[in-house]
Amino acid sequence: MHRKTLPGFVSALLASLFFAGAAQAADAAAEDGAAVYSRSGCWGCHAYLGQGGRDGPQIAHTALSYEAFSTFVRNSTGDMPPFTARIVPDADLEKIYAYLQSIPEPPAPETLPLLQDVFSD
Amino acid sequence: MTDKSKSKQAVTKVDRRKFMAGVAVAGAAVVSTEAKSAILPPGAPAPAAPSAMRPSTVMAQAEVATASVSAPAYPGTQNGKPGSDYMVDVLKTLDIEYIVTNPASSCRGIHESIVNYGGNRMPELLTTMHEESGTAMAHGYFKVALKPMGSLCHGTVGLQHAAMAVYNAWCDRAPILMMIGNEMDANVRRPGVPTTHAAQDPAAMIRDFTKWDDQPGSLQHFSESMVRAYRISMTPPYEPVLIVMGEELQEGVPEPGHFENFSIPKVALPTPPQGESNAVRETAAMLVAAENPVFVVDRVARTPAGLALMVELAELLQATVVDQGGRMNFPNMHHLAARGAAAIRRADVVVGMELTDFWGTVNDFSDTAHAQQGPIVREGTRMVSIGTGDVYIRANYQDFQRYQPVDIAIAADAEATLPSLIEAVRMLLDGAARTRIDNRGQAARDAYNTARSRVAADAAASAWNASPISGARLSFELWELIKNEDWALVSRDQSISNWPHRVWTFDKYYQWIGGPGGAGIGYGLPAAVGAALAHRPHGRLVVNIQNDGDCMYAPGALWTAAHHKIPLLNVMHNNRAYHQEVMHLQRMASWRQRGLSDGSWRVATTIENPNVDYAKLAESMGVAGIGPIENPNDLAPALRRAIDIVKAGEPALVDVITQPR
Ligand code: HEC
Repeated sequence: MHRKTLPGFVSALLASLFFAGAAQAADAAAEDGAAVYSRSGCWGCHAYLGQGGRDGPQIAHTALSYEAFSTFVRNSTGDMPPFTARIVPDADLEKIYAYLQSIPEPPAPETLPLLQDVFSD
Repeated sequence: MTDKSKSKQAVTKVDRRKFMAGVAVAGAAVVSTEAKSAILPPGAPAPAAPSAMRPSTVMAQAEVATASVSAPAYPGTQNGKPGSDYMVDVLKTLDIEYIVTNPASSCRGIHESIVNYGGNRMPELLTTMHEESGTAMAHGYFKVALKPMGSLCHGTVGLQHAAMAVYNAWCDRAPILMMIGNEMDANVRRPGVPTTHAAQDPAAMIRDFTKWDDQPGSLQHFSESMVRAYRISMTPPYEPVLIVMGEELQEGVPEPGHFENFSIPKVALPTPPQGESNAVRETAAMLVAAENPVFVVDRVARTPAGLALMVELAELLQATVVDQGGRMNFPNMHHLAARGAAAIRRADVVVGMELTDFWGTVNDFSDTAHAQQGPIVREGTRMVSIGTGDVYIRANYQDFQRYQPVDIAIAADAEATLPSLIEAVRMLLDGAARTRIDNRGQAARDAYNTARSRVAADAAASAWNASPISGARLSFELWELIKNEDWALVSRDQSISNWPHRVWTFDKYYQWIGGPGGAGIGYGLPAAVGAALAHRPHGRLVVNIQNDGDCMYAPGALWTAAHHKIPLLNVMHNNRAYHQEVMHLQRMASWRQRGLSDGSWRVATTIENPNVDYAKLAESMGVAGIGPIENPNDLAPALRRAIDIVKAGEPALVDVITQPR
């Protein structure tokens, strides 16, 4: 039902998944996780594929266990505001975690021609 | 007969200002040669020009042979050289290439003079759709041209429009010659709208963030005040200034002979203040003795010389430089260039030069529910400030930031102080110091080579194929196409997570001009157009990575670029939101534990439903529009097409749908 309220954004995310090649790989739970990730707003600071940027670190393929992930999200007192179970229920956070872990591995930098300059510096 | 000429007659009768000449004194026709000799008596030497570059009055007048006012008198016409022609004579001595304007009745006298008397050359009028945009154009232009532009605005409402852009320029230390029209005398002022737009003290509105203003009472007074305004504006700290031009002063015709002594003073720009020699020596001693000296710089390089001096000083000491990016202060790929707070945490000496915010540089303030704050520097770290911030300050607006105690405060222009600081450091370098410095340099080189490339490449790859397109992909695709050109970036890059600064090589002064200064949105597009105008004679490939929200404040700047044929590659960072505010709302909702799951933070923060079609927007104003580009693989061909258009001398825009940051 939340999807109805955010059609534009969810389709953008599905498009991300398409280009990331994830549509083939992700299972249903992870796809649902993408929608939860979107409406919970994590992308605001961590970007649509959890790749991170100026306002938040990468959280896709986090090395944190679910417990550590959840502890951080619930209790952050630093630059990230805390997200309690009241606003992101446990069931949602689990889906978010699964989604972030399911995003296909990015291409190796060595395989991307445009990145070769960076290595030759 | 217009009501205007009636008022002129009335004025003439009461002989209010002596120099008014209307129909009643039409017999006293003044011919152009007489008018000229009123400025320059025959045989008198031409007023000294401020530099070899500037035309003298004689030259200026020779260039504008259109200035004939010798037509016989007809009812309802004026005879003689109007006041605003004299004003143009003054402007022509100041090496002002452009005046940007949104046309206004209170400026119609000088507007007409610039075009018909001045030949619309030096200065040439640029048309802007909004005074805020015009003033931001002047702001961007200065940072490349290093000479000021005029911004001619209507009294009151025009200046109200311009005000935010003036504040940006103030915070960013950019000189702009603001000029407005106004009429104080209710007896000659047209009733209705012109009276609504008149004010006793129109400059009051922006006085807190301009360095100087005046409302001259005569043409001689205008001459002196305009030259003074230029001089004050161009003395560091560079700042905007404002001249209010009376409408009667512009439109009236001085009586013949009234201006036998009219003169235009020459501009001798004051040399900027250098740091006091003892304080400079003490700073040098501190730097030479330090284990980890760090320079933090924001607007040190006022000119290309500042950049070269900064490199010289840093290399002399092999000291880290944290460039906060108000100007192009230091090459970003230099092994001594550092980003972020880590270098400052390690420092035992911090020298802050022309900083906007020294407190914020050496303290942490985290935006949490309980606003934690505290120093990030180690205890005992010595601190020195060098800058014009101590020379010049105003009380109302808080751009001076929080108070930061330092060990030595040098109230001086940093760029002007660098040569003596370099010299003082050199005098103190003995063998032991040189060894320590060499070791520090080697360590910096090693750390730089190993860390940087891997981190950047991994981060760039992580959303390489994503749609919306990542800032990293956008920046790498662009870099591939511009790196072998003579390029310049005229926008900031925070909104795409600083990717250009992470991967492009900035080493020339003109490749980077910093940001708005006052963080007032609506600066980006027009400032880019102004900067591109200043790059145009050099034939550079100018890139503006344009935030969508900023663009929508005043998209009319695109029209100005098309109309005046200003080549500029606009690449939309179209994340369809005022994304900063999305994050603020998320933060508030999280603190308050409500609303997140409803996406409430999307209300009044996003720019979607409907989406803006920026390519069509551009096309509607005569700018080639390409996009929207959503698939990253379509990016390179789109950019290539746009670059071809820009190289042919026109602006172009590529709409790119992007990740949030
Ligand atoms: C307003 C911006 C913002 C939003 C929204 C946000 N984060 Fe964060 N997040 C951050 C910042 C900043 C950090 C780094 C915090 C730190 O280092 O203390 C961070 C760190 C994290 C980390 C720790 C990463 C690590 O490896 O240390 C996790 C996990 C995380 N965020 C998950 C989430 C999830 C899940 C959501 C959505 C429910 C979310 N974040 C929403 C800003 C945000």
